[in-house]
Amino acid sequence: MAAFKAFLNSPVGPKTTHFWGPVANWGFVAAPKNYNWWLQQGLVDTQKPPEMISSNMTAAMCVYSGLFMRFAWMVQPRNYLLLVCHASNETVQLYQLSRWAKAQG
Amino acid sequence: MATSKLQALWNHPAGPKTIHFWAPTFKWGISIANIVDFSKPPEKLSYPQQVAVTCTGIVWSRYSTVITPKNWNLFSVNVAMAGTGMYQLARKIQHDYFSETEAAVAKE
Repeated sequence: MAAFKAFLNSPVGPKTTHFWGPVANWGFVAAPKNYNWWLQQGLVDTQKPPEMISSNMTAAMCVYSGLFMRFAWMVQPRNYLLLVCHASNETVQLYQLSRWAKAQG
Repeated sequence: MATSKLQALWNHPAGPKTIHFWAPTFKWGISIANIVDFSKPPEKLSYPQQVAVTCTGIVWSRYSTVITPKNWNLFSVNVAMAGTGMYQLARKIQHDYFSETEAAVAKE
């Protein structure tokens, strides 16, 4: 209970924008299927056949999340939630890239 | 005189030697892609996606001003994201709710 209260009142907790920025970004990780080609879907797309994977977008997302992982680490205050968000997206996108590469034969 | 200003930018805490510069700079790609999509027919736009882009832009604009270092590059890219998102939403709403009557009249 005390730990939860501490979280609520933390400088990077839900009363601050340091929390909600990363929360908004989780949408990109878990997003549903009807999203646009350029705003890459995350986990749901791992169910798509590899022919439908855009290597350009997936590679761009790998660079994007890589950059923001570093950003989340270096920013003041350090933002672990943002780091975890982009680490997850990085993992998903790298997985998609490997699926695409495998399908190239 | 110009060189010292350039030097100041080059050595800025959110300047091109730091991640605070490159992360937002790369993020401009998303807004540019949305601007390219201004020519897309509104039926093909997605409400959830454009709402996500808009909300994310608004939240992050605020975020950029309360972090250290304060990041105007990140601020501007998120203002642009929110702007393109709102424009796309306006286009789609206009198409879905305000041009039906014209289409119905045209059919007759």
